[in-house]
Amino acid sequence: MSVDELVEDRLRAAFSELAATATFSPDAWTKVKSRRTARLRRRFVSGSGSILLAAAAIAGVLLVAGGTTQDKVPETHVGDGTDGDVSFDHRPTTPNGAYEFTRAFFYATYPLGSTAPDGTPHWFAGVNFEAVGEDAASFDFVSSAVSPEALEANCVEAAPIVDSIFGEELRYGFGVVPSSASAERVPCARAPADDPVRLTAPATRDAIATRAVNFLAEMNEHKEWTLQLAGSGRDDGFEMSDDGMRVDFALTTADGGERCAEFVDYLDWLMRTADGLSVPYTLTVNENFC
Amino acid sequence: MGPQPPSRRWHQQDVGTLQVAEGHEVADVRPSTIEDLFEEAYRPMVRLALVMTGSNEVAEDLVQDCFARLHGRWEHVENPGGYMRISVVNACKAWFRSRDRERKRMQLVGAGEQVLSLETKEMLDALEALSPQQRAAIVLRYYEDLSEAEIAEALGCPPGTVKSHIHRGLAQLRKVVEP
Repeated sequence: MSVDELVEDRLRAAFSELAATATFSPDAWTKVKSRRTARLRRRFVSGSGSILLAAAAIAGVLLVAGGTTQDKVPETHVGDGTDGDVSFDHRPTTPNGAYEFTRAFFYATYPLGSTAPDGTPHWFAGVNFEAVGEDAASFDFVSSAVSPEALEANCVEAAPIVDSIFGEELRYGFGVVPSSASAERVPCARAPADDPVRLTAPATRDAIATRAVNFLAEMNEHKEWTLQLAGSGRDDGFEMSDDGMRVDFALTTADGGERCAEFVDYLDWLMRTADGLSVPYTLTVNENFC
Repeated sequence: MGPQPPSRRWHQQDVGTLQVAEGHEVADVRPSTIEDLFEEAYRPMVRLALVMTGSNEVAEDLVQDCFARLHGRWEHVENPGGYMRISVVNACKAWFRSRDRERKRMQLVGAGEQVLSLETKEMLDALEALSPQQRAAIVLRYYEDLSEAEIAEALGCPPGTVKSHIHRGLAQLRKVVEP
């Protein structure tokens, strides 16, 4: 018997022996239902729902809603001009001035050209939610990793959760924007680049914020998160663990600092009050944000 | 008219029949309710998670959580059995990366492990040193008896990557049997 065969035999025997020790809680299904209920409880109501508004009011947080109707907004380019930048088409706002999140997709860069603080190159993928309107906002759910395999694992893990939380608004499929210099695509992509996800329903900025936090809560058991608030299109560097996930939030406000600061408070409050969020997070407000 | 947008439905990778180690197979037919799937798959999934994590407590915890997550997505999942297996594998991999791994591991010592043979303990200790991806590939190969192609689908990576994970994993495990 070769060494490999011996290893395989030992593995099978060990697995079999270990599996045979399994015990099962008699109330397992009850526990599943309890967990499901707890998840539903902690999930914020979407849109401008009364529960969210009431909760925000209790917390003394001013929610900023609405905006000015625009027929079109200029084409937007997200990124710093290096590989992995994302461009958006013209997107209409809604008649009531709500922010319409028109596109969301995984995108990837191999690598971005940026490096981790220790100098190692990072591989980079994420899903981007872009809003339009006077108080336009966008979210980038970013996974950064030191290897394509680690990135892929993060991506696979995130996809069903994004699906779960954003599924109601998405006409589905994750697209990929290939980097300008490379034809490589993120492995877990589920749609071609020319067919990005479209959001069918208008969504307020705050609604997307609650989903961002829900997303964090769903993922928090697995990841250490960094919430980075940056000016649109800016990325001030990777300050995350090798296997981390990050939410970048970019915001453009019509009246500048005050509403921006309110929103920082609001987002911070969401993060602090999301009871599913047990992993410490870092809220970084970059200089160019407000 | 532009291209039709993809369906919103979560197109789970087709991982085929959900097979479990003791020869039991979960039917390819979609269970009509999540309760049916629970009846069918809970125990095999706990065993799979136990083999991956080494902890019965953690295994039940992770599998229950996976069922709770699936509860809200039931209507959107075409192949719940395959979805569940991938969820459990991902949850186990994530658990290995999580911060409380060491704490849970400490709880494990003195509990279930004490009934295992020395050889099994040695092998499990060696498995512990593998990366989550390597361990997942090894478990799916030698516990679930999946092919490399099936493992690739379950892990969402190319077959070549699976082959690499298994090869490297076995190379490390050889140290257990070699003097």
